[in-house]
Amino acid sequence: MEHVISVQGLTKDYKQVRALENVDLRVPRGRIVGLLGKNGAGKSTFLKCLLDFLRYEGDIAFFGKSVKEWKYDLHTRVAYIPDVSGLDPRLTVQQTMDYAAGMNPTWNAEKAERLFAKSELPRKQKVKTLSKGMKTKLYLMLTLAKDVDILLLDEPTLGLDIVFRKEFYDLLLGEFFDETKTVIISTHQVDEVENILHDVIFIDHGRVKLHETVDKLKKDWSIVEVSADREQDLMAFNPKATSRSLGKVRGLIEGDIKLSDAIIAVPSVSDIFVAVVNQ
Amino acid sequence: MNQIKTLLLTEYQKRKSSYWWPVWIIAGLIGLSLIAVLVAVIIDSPNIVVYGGIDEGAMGLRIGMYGVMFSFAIIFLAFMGLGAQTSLNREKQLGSDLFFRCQPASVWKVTGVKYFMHVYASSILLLGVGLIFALLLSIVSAFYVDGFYLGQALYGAFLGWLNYLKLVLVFGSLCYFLSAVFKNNALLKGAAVLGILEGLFAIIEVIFRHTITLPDVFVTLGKMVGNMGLDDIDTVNMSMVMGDYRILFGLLFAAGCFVGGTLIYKYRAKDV
Repeated sequence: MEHVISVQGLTKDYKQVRALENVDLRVPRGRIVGLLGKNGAGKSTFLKCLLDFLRYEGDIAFFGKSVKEWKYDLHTRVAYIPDVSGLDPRLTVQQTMDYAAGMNPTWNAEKAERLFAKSELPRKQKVKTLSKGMKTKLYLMLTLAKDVDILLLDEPTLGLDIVFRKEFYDLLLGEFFDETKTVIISTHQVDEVENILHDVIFIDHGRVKLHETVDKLKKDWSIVEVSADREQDLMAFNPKATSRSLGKVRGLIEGDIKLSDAIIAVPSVSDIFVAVVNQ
Repeated sequence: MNQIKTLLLTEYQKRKSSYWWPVWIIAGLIGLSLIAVLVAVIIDSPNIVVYGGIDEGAMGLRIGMYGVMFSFAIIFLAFMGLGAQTSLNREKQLGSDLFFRCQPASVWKVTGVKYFMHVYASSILLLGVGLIFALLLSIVSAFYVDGFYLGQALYGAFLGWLNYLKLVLVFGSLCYFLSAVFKNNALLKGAAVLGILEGLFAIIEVIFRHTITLPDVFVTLGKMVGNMGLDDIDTVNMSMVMGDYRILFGLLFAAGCFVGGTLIYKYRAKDV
């Protein structure tokens, strides 16, 4: 399997605070990867380090070539959408689009026109007058029209309403993703993305706590529900998290479990995430 | 080439109004002057003196235009300074720096365009304003002096424009450099630092009982502009304005400001 991103021993310190500690991971082509962590876990720092926007220790490579060697050419293959809508408020929508078109040799004018025609974005309006949702949509369209291989999204839908969030992910899946592309989505809103993810990376206090495919995760973990009087039987399996309600006890268990009269269900990624980061 | 064209256009679009403000101010001042003349004509016959110096003809027009360009240049210089002090830090202030850094273009290309657009681009407008004013002045003066001296007026405007270029070469480049050092209010902070440096030099000189002489910071900067031709304005010409070796120091200073500013910007860009 070809790995498009390789990270070895990535460590980043902000003065006295260690934001990332010895992160090692490899991301294969054609996957949608969720970089999941609480606020301040190190997700944004990780993405910025990937693009060499920060000073760090360790090695980062895209397509087998060090990020230091890529320099600015990397941006013809990799695009990034930051956590805050970071477009220039002084430019109009059309001027921003013209700028992106003029700067990027891989710009797909036909795709850009098609996306903008559908978007109903007011071309003559200044970016500063757009709503947060419109700005995010514009940013995504500019990025999609670049025809890159890897897309890094840092909390892209933070603060957007449900309609914009849905539109965002529909656009991402419909217009960008195929088996040749790779997407890393950083978020703490796990529920929102878990249905589109192939792989997950749980990050906490700057450390990778888990890196697994969603399929394997759901195969390896179970939610087991028993009646309250059988709690001790459940506890014998050392559940990673438990909850009690209406005379029932539920436990999140890693590994095979055989318990008579228990209801076994497949956990959500967010259930596993909470259990792993709270360990 | 396409990227440079895009960068030039976008830099212009980002701060379009600040390029045109000096033009509107000058147009306003000229408009007010015309209204004053009109009022004078209505009230009484005006007594217009085109140039009260040594020569009311060709040389007078050259000197007059040179002086006019100097006053225009001060207005342009103020706006250039305010703009150039944000050359490298404005995007960070607006939170859009990562968008621009995600484009496949070298930092030197991007900063080179910023340097040109923030420091020198306004000079194109000043030249335009100067040429139009030279034409108007030579037409108006043709009614009061013996002859139509457009060539001399244009020459005077051109000399004044060269003076402006020398000023922005030093002052504008310094502003560009300061924009890399300070995240905001770069001009004010830079002036404060230079003032402190000047005071420090003066204290050191006193401590050493004036046995050593340290450079006067502001005077040294001023010297790099070279001869402004203001002392001998009656005979102002090309060799007076441009034939000064100190301009070479100005060029070196400007190159140093550009390279130093860009290197600092590159280094500080990683302090996100």
